[in-house]
Amino acid sequence: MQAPATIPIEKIHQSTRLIKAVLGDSLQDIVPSYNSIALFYEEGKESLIEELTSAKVSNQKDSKSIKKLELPICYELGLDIDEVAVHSGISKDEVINIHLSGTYRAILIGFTPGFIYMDGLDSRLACPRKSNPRKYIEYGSIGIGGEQTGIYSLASPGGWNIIGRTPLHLFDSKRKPPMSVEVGSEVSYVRITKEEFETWGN
Amino acid sequence: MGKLKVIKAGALSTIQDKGRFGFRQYGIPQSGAMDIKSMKNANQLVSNKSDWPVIETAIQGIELVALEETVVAVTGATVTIQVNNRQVAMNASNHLQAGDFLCISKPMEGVYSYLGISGRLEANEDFGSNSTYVMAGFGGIEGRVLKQGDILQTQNAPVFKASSIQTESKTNEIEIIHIIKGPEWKLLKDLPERTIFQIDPSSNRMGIRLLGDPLNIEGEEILSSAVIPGTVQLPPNGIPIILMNDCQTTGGYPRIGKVIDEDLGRLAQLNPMRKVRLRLV
Repeated sequence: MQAPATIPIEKIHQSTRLIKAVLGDSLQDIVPSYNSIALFYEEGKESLIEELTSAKVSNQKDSKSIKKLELPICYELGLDIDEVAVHSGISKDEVINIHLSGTYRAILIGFTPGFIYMDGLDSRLACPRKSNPRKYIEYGSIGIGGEQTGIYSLASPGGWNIIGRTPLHLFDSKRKPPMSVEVGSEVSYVRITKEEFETWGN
Repeated sequence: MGKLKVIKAGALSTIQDKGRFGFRQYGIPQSGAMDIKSMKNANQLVSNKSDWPVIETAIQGIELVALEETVVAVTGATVTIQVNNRQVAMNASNHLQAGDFLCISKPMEGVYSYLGISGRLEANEDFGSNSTYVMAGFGGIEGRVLKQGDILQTQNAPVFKASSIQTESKTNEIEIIHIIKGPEWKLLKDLPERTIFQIDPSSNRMGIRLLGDPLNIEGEEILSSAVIPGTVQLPPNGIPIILMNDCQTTGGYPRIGKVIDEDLGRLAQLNPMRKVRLRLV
């Protein structure tokens, strides 16, 4: 990713929300990325594009539609939190406090199913990816990969440093929409204990 | 109803249907049969709905035993099929009795074979599809490739009505694969049609890799953008990769073209080292 982004990511996210609002379920899929938005529609539904270009929308109300989520996080399930602390030259408690004070924004979803790339990581917590990726990372794991942070909303292999885990199922194939986080969503964290994690939702 | 037990699975046998749609925005690949037309044919021959799940085998064959009376059909790559050591025809309906052994050989020509079984195959459903996506464990039987001992059970078998299908079996010295221009077509300095490529043996359900003289392009990488099955990517080495059913949802290489849907199944069936030319529609 060496080319400069010519379109601010906020614009991409805002346009994505507007397109979803205008076309709703008649659109088969929509894939926003750093400087483009791909629309998927069924054959013969080309009129959707006309509908979109002729739609009159006000973007003033849009800022209100940015989702803000507060996710519970258990740092005791952060498999690599000690390594991050050592790498950053600070204590584990400082790692936790710095991480808790941040607000993170979902930039892109993908790479592996349900993986949420986010910005907003305090540079003090930046930590290179693990040289040996794990074959299995539990759902809800929150990781740091270099300057980026992300959530493995589904279990998958991965090489990021896991600093905590949320008990929430951010991705549920039976829910509509299946993900509660979308690109542009703002995420902050609330600390929970291991006991609270284990009994979450019971 | 139909019920078969896997005796020998082959390394890459999976359950596939037409794939999952509408979840690319969540990073969920499309998956589905690599050769959709052959999958539909397999279903048609056993009187199933055309988009019901079938067994896809690749490179190797599969051996099964029928536990109940049923109707099966094999389509796709050219194979020999035996029922209790007696050869039967592919691209045709075959009735099996309980206890019959069905043995499908590895392909003589082509890569992917499809076994249709009368009725709707029972398999995990994830995101609206039974297609197996091994990397995330979606669909199929426990989201994995088939293995010895697996039971393939179908429900709601339709009343059997004999039918026949049209297949094209002519092969050309150089296969022409038709493409349309991709978003980064303008970065190309050479016409892809000038190069005769060959199919790289490392091709798989994620992508068809090619061998041949590199194409020149301005700039090397783009910001990660949407890709789909059929996208022709050009990595820095100048040798195109054609993304296939299990490809990721975004990619960072220039998208010089897109293989038209109609040609994707034929492309998937090309054996390693077969020659191809990418021609603009």
